[in-house]
Amino acid sequence: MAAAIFGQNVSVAWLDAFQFLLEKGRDIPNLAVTIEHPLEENARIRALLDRFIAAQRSQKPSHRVEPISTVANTIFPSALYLPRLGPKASAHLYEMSGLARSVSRRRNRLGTYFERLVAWPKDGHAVNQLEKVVSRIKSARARGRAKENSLEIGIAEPCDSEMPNDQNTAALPIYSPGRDNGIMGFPCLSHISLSLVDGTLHMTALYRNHEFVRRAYGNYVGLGRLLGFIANESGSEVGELMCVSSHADPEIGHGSGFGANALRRLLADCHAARADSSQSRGA
Amino acid sequence: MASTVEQTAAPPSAPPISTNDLGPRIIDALAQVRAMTPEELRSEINGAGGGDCVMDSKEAEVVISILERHFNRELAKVEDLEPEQMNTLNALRNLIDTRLNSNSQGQD
Repeated sequence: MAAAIFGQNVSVAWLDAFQFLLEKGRDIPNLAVTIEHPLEENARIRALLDRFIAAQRSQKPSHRVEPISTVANTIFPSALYLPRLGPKASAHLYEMSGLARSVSRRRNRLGTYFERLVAWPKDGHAVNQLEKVVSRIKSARARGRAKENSLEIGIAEPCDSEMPNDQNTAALPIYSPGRDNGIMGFPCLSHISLSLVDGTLHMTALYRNHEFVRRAYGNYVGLGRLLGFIANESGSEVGELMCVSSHADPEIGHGSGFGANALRRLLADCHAARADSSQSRGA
Repeated sequence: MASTVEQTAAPPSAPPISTNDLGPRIIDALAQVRAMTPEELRSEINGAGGGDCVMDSKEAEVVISILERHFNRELAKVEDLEPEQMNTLNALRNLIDTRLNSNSQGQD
């Protein structure tokens, strides 16, 4: 039942996973998608999916399909992170995203994933998990801890203070027990795990439910940017992104889905774009 | 017994915002988001931007938030916050202008 997909960049990995799901013709459990270069995309595949989503937004507003950039922003608002600010870049990101919150909450009543990362609700306080994770990785690197040393973390508490400092892994929980009681909807992303191996930072993300047209591509983009941020701030190299979908849905059904014919056309167009891109590179 | 007028009176309204005031405030706020001076941003807009500039929806949310704090009133409702309605500086200005006008008409 489980399946593993491997792709060089976000677009190709998404496309192969999407094809796998369409061939199955239904939702499946335990789909693992690994993206070797999570900051890279195929611009033509991205444009095709952007166009498909824009058409859906125009023709079926009730379907609540969001642009890829909007989905990605819920995980990491890259426009607010300005690396040229150097040591002040992360403080600027946190300040600006904090300002945006009062407005974004009007659309995302339960908050966004990024909000969970920088303002995790704990004992009436907001914990900035990202800041703590960056600090821990920086500290590990400063002590020369860049060797393979990956450990499992299964505790849904952000950056537990009793976690030994010499572990080169970190966890970013999203799901808040006792608060997130909906069977569907936010948060579908439950947990993020990071591993520092030979100075390269790798990410694993767990989704309890993954809609492959509405969300998956934007999620991969957002997670890749989040990984890029943490790597940049901690002086690490960007590694690979693995995204595990406990439940992956191709969204074929005609209710809230998009229909098999429309999705097959989208798939064919994306494959043609991929082939053209390969030929262009070869030329 | 309080009069009907007293019972339904609206809270004291914030001072009116003119379109002339709104434009520079939006540029100031976006410059703050982009960590540049308003002059640098104006130069970009008037140069390569041809009088407008593309915005990320997250940038627009911060700009709205800064303006709401400045003017002490809500400038965008949930239905205004569709990404296509705030993907450029001019689109955001129109969005806020429209909301301000509809608010003032409602108050009349």
